Formats: sequence, structure tokens, C-alpha cells
Amino acid sequence: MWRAKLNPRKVAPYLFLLPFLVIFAAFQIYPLIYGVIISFYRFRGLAERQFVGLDNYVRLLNNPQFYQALENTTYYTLGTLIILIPIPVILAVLLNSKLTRASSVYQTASFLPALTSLVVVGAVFRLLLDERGGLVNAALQAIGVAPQKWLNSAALVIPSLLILAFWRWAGINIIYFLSGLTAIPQELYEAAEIDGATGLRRFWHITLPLLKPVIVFVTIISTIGGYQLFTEVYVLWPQGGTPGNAGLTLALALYRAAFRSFDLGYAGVLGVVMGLIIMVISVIQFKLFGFFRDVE
Amino acid sequence: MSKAISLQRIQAAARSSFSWRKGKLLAGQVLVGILFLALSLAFLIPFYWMVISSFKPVEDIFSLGFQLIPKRVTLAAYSELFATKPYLRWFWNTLFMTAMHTVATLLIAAMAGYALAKYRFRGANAVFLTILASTMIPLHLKLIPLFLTLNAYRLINTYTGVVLPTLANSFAVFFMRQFMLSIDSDLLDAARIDGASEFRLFWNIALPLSKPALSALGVLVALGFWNDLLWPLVVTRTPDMFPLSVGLASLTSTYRPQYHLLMSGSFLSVLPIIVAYSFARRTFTRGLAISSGLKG
Repeated sequence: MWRAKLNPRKVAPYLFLLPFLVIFAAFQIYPLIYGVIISFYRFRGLAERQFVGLDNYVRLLNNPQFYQALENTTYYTLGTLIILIPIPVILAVLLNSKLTRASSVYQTASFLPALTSLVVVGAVFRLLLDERGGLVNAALQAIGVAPQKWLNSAALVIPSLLILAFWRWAGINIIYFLSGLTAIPQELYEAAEIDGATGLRRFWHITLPLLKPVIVFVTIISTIGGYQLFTEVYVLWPQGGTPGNAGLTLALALYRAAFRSFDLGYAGVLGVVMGLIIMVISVIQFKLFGFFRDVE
Repeated sequence: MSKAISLQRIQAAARSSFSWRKGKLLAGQVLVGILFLALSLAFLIPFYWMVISSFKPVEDIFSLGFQLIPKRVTLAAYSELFATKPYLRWFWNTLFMTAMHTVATLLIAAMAGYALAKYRFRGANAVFLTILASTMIPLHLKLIPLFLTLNAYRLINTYTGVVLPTLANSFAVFFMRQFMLSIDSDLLDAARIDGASEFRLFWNIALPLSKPALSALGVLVALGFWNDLLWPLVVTRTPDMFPLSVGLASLTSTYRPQYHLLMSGSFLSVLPIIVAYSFARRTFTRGLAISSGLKG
């Protein structure tokens, strides 16, 4: 009887959503809540645990390593924003202009690193940046610059990571910006040219404003990605120590707390803090760029 | 007569200014060409270095000075890799899990995206906004709870444990929803009148029409899973269950990193992706282009 009343068109969307929602609830929502709960417990092994209130949070705030990790991760993220947005924008504009022939060849070359796993990238850069036999120092010596202790001096940890980041991500960002550029109507440039606008002015008044949505997108994913930095450091300094802890990141601190010291509650706090930082920054960026208006 | 002269003058002036502009363009092309040639080299050299290092005898890997072509070539690293490490097993683990992950993620996301794009139902907005918001939550907040949950269900160190929690991909649902909005509803209604079931509308109409989106998204999803380190590092425990990323990372963490194995293993792990890319270049970049254009 009730079957006859059931309109398949009313039921269908729920059935289509069901597999996603079940897995989403089990592996996204539930761990999210559980993750916050864990941060109030102290673990002995995996099974035994004891409610300690805000103790883990107090421990985090009293731990100088936390501030160092926060600082390192922030420097790295800012660094990636500074090098991985303006330079790829300019490269994309050049690739898209009459000035470049064989643009697709260059695009392919710059995109290959993006296909490569970060473990492989880290391994290759360890070889390239090696103090004694690395190619980078060999190249520096060839042009008369003293070899640098890329991986063994605190001051060069973040620069080394940024070199790697540029190599790995520039090609992807160029693709993002190129796809934004090709969407800009050509007539705008022609009209501006007739009005006598120079190349630089056209870039400033047409290209940049119309590229803004893509720049915003790249800024946000770069920020989120930057704060999650883990693999590169894990592979470049596998012994667990970067010089002067200059490469200690939030994610690395979390991984070590959980799977080296088995201090799961403390790792849980780091997870909560990372989640908060990333969400707050994303929301600020969304607001700043007025992105919520577009969604509604 | 004076008119004819002035016309000639104008033509001559136009010609000379044209060739002057052409010269400027050519100079620009040369400069930009040199820039991109240098950049492309910088992007390609690490690959080249990886490949030649993998064919060098161990003691030559750090040989000082730059040798464009290695003096001695050997396959020793490869035979040692296969003899001492379960490399083929790692390869299979990666291939198998990536395939499972990709097929299941696409299917689940396509169904959910179809429901959100093509039906009006109670709760649609709430579900959509929850999915959007969840794209900002970093894995790290969920890492410890997921680990404890998998541990409680004895799923640590299993394929299911690695793959299952990754299947509710919010970004993929968003991607599919945006694409499926463009599917013509009249087409679906016509099929409904012909008596097709709701599931057949999805399977026989919406899914085939979404092929471009599915292939672009599939590449993004597969590449992300193939290259991921942190998640499989947490879930897999024994070398026979490692994917390539974890297996290769394990080669770096010994006191003396085995660079010859690392380079040969890295090269073999990157090779299939570069081959796939060379066959389907546009598919690889289309997903990125689409996702940078999605607002949200």
C-alpha cells in the first residue's frame, strides 16, 4: 500500500546520496568529533585513557617547540605565496602572449614535476642539495659561488624547502593561471589597444582584475597546502632532526607525537589547532575576497 | 598631386613602423624564449639527474663535479632493488589501491553530485553546504581518530583500511555537481516519460554525458592517491603492505640512505605516470583548469 504512494523521484536523490553520506559520516564527521574529544584525554597505549580536561592544551601552549613549528609553517606558507603566485602569473601571461612560441613544450616541462610524488621529489632534492656531491653546489662552484650547507644549516632549511616547492608547484599554478587567461575575452585587449593602453597597463587593468578569481583560488589552496607541510620535510630530513628544528612543522610535530611518543591526546590537540588555523585563514581569505557572494 | 605624395608618405611610415614593431616582437620572442628554455632545463634537470644516478655505481653517485654523462653505467641498483626489496609488491599495492580508490570515489561522487544537481529535495542545501565546508578540514584533525577507529576494527595494515576512509571525497562531489548542472533536464524528463527508472537515467544518460568530467576528475583523484604519503604511512605497518610512497620513504629513513635504490625505485615509480601523461596530456590538465574555475 505505502509502496504505491512512494514517488521514485522523491526517493531517488536520497538513495544516490546514501553511499557518500554513510562514508562521509563514518570517516569525516565522526572522526572530526572524536578528534576534538581525544584532545581532552591522556592515553596510555591505544586502549587506556584518562580524562585530563585542558591539560593537553596547556602542555601545547607551554611547549616552545609548538611556537617554533607554528612559526616555521607560517614562514614556509608565506614564502610559497610570495614565489608561487606572482612568478607563475607572469610566466602564464608570457606563455599566453605572442612573445612565446612552442608554449606547449614549456608547459609540459614545467608540469612534469607536478606528476611526481613528493617522496620522489624529496629524494631527488636530497641528492641535488647534498653539501659535498650535490649538483646545486657543483653549479654554484662553477660560477664562483661558495658551496652552501643547504640541508645542514638552520638558515637554509626554509629556502631549500621553497626551492623544492617552486620546482614542484610552479607548473600546476601556471596551468591554473593559463586557464584563467584563456577565459578573458580577446576583444577587451583589442579595445584597450585602440585606446592606446600600453602592455603594462593592459596587464594591470584587464588581466589582473579578471584573473582575480583564479588568484584567489590558488592563494587559498596554497595556504591550506602550506600549513599541512609534511612529506617534504619527512623525506629531506628522515633522521627526524632538521638543523635547529628549523624544519619542524605542525604536521610533523603531530605525526611524531602520535607515532613516535604515542602521546595521542597531545597529537589530538595539534590536530585541533591545525584544523582551526586552516579554517580561520580560509574563512578570512574567503571573506576578504568576497567569495561567499558568488556561492549564493 | 600633393594628396598622392602624402598618401605615399603615410604608407611608407606605416610600413616602417610595422617592421619596427615586428623587430621589437622578434627581440621579445628571443628573450622570452631564452627565459623559458632556461626554466625548462631547470624543471627537467632533476629528472635527468634521477635517471642517470640510478644507472651509476653506488660510489659514483656523489662523485664530485658535474658529469653530464656518467662514466660508468650499471644496472646494479635495479637488480639490488628487486632482490632486496619487495618493490614489485609495492608497485602492485599502489596500482591496486589507486584503482579501487579511483573507481569507487568517482562512482560515489557522481551519484551524490547527480542527486545534488538534478533533484530538488529537502535538505539538499544543508547537505551541499556541509560538503563545501568539509573541504577545508585538514586530514590531520581526523588522523588520530581514524587511526584508532581502524585499529578497533582491525583494519590497520589492510587495503580496506587504506582505501575505505578516502572514498567520501567532498571536492569530487562538488566537481561532479557543478558539471552535472549542465546536463539538460528535458532529456532526463523525456526518458522518464518513456518509462526509464531513476537509476537508469543516471546510469545510461547522466554518467555517459559526464565522461569528460569523470576522466578529468579521475586523473586528479588517482594522481593524488598514487602520490600520497602521510595517510598510507599511518595505516600500513609491514613492508608487504606498503604502497610505493611509503616503501620509497622507508629507503630514506635508514641511517645511511640507499640512494642508488632510491633513485632506481623513484624512476620506476614515476615512469608509468609520465607515460600516461604523454598519452593524455589534455585530460591531466583539464581537471586542474576546471577546478580553478569552480567557485566555492
